[in-house]
Amino acid sequence: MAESVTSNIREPQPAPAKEARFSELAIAELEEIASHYPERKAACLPGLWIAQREYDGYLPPAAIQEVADRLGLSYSEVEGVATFYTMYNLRKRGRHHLEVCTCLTCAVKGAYEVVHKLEKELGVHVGGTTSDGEFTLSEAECLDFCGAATVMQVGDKYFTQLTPDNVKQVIDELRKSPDYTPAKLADSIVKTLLPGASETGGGSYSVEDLKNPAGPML
Amino acid sequence: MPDNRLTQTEASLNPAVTQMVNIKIDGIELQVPKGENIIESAKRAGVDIPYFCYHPRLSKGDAANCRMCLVDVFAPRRAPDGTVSLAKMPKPQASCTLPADEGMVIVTDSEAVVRDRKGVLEFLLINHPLDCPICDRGGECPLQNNAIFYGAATSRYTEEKRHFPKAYPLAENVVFDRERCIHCARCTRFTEDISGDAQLGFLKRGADMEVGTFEHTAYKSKFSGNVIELCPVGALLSRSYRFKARPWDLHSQRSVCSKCSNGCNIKIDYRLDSLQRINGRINEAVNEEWTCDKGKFGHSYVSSEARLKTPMLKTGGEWKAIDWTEALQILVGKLRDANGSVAGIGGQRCTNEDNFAFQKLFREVLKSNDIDSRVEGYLGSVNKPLYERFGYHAMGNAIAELEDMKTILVLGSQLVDEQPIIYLRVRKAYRFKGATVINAVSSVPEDSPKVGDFAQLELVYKPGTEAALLKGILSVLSAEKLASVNGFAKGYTLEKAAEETGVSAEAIQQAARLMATGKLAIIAGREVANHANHLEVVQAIGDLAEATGNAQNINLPGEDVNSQGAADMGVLPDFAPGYAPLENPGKNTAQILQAAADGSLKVLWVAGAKLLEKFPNRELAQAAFASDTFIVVNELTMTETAQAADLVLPAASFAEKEGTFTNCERRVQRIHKAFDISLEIKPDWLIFSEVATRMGGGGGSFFSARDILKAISAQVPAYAGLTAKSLGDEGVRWNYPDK
Amino acid sequence: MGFLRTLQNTADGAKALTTGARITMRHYMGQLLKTEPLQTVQYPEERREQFPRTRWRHVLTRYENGLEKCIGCSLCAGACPARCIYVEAAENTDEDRYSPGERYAVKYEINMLRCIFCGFCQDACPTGAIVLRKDFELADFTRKDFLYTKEMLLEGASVIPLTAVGTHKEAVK
Repeated sequence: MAESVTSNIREPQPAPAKEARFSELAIAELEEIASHYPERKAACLPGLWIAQREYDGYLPPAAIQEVADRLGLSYSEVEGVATFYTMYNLRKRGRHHLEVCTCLTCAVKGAYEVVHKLEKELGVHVGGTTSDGEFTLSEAECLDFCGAATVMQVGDKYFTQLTPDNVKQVIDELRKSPDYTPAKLADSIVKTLLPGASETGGGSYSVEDLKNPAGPML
Repeated sequence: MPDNRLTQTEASLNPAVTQMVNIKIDGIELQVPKGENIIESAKRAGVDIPYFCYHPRLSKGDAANCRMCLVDVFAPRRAPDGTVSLAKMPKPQASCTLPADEGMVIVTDSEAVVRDRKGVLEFLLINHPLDCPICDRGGECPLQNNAIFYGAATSRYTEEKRHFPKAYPLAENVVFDRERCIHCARCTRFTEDISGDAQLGFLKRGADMEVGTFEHTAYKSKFSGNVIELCPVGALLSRSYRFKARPWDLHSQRSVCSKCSNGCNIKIDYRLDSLQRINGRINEAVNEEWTCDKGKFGHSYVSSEARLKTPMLKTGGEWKAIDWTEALQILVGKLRDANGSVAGIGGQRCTNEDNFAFQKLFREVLKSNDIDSRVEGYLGSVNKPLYERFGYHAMGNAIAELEDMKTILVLGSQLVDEQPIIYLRVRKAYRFKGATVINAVSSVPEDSPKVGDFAQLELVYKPGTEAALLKGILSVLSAEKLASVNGFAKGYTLEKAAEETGVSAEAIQQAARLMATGKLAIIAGREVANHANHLEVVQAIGDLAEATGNAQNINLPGEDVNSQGAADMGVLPDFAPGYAPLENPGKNTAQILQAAADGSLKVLWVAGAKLLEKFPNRELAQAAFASDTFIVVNELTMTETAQAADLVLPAASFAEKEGTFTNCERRVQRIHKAFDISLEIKPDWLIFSEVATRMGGGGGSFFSARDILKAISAQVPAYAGLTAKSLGDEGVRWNYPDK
Repeated sequence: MGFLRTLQNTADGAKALTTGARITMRHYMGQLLKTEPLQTVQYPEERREQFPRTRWRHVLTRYENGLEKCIGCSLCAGACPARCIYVEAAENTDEDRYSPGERYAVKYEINMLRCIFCGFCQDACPTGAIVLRKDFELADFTRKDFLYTKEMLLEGASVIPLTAVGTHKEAVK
């Protein structure tokens, strides 16, 4: 679920400042993707991925405005899209985004114990980011890998068969792992949308360094 | 290149339907156009299907949010052996997006449908606070009605409903109660389809879905009031009407908006003697059902405390309230003493009846032709700019005709401010009919909505260079042999035009090419009307229209509510009612003010014109008011002009009198009296008539507004045959006899 | 036959008269000798208890914490067959609070001359604010005095404003 920004705002807010952070390459990429569709509107999702890369791994209001301006859409429409999909980050994330599945099967297999252990281990609540900027912890809906519950998604990687006992190990591994920011994840997704990308995605980073600590991994 | 905020709807969504199909709804057989939504077909058959999100004027492709209009559908199915049998669709269908097809059988009252409706309503009411007693929509609420007619009596939902702050000030005039929203998307579709600013959208789609603006910014629109009427629950409410009255406390009167010359049909809802709110009234030819914010929220002056309730006389610099007998005595005395040295200005904000009585009083009783209704802009002969060449004065097209244009050129106009309803038609032509819009202005405002948001091409020229721009376009038409230009562009080249106007040569070329593609309408605005060389610009507009074969598609709409009617009624120095030329023309506004400033005018009567506020040459107006001329003003409140006068007479607003207005497309429409603020307030025609009677009658005495309308239809050829009855609710558009 | 019938009728009449007179005389003597109680209620010194569902003068009630129950919804005015209720509402603020929710009645007037005491307003009221109680002594001297304002109707109001002759009346509880 996208993070829920509580709507207890009582007065209209001033318009956020506009920025233009798209690099020339990013603009070229966006135009390339937009040229695949009959309407520019269709390039909204890729545009947001590019923005997520260009804006440091998340989508501040300025990023949404820039995508909307470049595609000729209204701001509220793009914000509606960005707030719907859970992989668009509306706030700054840690270097690793830990998304623990708490849907039925995982919950039965003790997902909440894993979450609580992680909260204790990291010193943040669900939705929070550690002060060193390493980890953001969230709950996720079904990750479609119930056979190996409890599952946790980190970027494009699944950690499976987690228990409160082995999560510490995962965190330690991740801490040591090479740079793996949401911006890089966004970049890898953008790459898959561009011509010449293979079906499985042409990530610009290697995830091979991460050793599987706890069972089979996708 | 302006950003195209919103794409046009695909033509496939608005197909020109010719084929008819046979369908059956609840046993009623009927023929409907193929592809028509079943909910509309059901309306034809008189079968009631409840709905919230469906709206005939909003795009239909993306409705079906509320699921209220579910029906059972049986469709013909061809078996492999060729036999056709009816098969029931396994699930109920949303009739608002279900296109009619041959042989369909629709059931709207089956047990399953009844049960489904109950279920849908139970869902919709899960988060609805049910605070109907304090909700302004209570009593006229589609959710209430449908819940009572189709809903279950109870709900199984016992958990906490979601809560938000009440009365969030979404826009200047609109408050938003998020709790009550049922997510029908009518308001979001309105901003996208109709007003064109697309500021409202669905955020956080899913369980937390809510309607909102981008990052909680204020919703700034010129048409925000319409979402209040569109909202099928009490989520979007008027800030000024909030908690003012319940629907059963109100009386309603049909009227016409007095804020601009578009003549929107409205309903005045009032309680006792105070105006509470304005709602749109359907008139397909004018405003369809929309209103602009100026019209919807701008009428608080009618019931304001500042209204004048007695005549006011200035003696020794002090204002003194006097009674009508005294006021009329003084006025008649002054008029007698003036012995013909009298002049009248104004009438554009008055009814046709007021204007007719005004000119009757001056021409037949006071024996003066020095009257003029025009306060700003071009003050020469009204026949000069267009009539002598094309046979019409202001608008060649009806408002509704603009929909059918291939290209629309908006020239020198902030259309959304000046002519909001024409703006909506232009937007409709663009959005639903595939028209191309070219916007040529000298300055582009920041705010949305505006024509520039969806114009294919925006030409921003240096102020005052309209004629050069048009000649540049003509020279391109001539050079590229797109039209026979007849030497209109003589002495002009593309480069010269580009240099003079500051518009790039390519843009002018593109504009010219777009204009040569088919039916072109030209809408000129304030910048043209107030242009120092008005005649030259209109000449160039005429050249362009004639060259492209659109001589009847020039539109120079007036701006005040009855600027058209005042001219029709002959409140002009050189024409009697019906544009009959006068042998000895009088003075126009500028000349009258000059005479007053010179001291050669004894009495000046200003009928509701804001001379000091609006007349371009302010020094002249001030000199006229400072002179010895006795100035009498009919006004609602103590405006700047009234403050500078000698005698102020309290006049009735449009809500307090009967009469007719003629809008910019020459549609004569009736207004009805809703209430009296005070018995001491008189409609303008009655003031003129009473003075005429005291001056010895003549043709200037009238008994009622209807009486005057009779005189008008007898005397003005274009208004011949118009009676209060024949005008009906939608008015009658008069046309030039030779057209 | 005719004579006999006349005689019979006369006898019947005389019997009926004496029967009636006997009852009257018995009570008369009883009252005179004080052997039976008085039947007449000695109004206004003495008042009879009214029936539970008697509907007379309206009262706008309050919650226990003193806030008004009326939310100014005007449903009473809508339900009123005599059109005698006029309500104007306004918005509560945290500083200036009259009722619990957003809305309260800033004006509440009942024209008692028009009221037919049908109780529909009480029926329609969603918060139970307006109730018809048993105080029936509503006579007054001028028509104007029958226009009951919110101040007069509100529970806990101490006095009814001046009447035409300048006397105060005890408020009804």
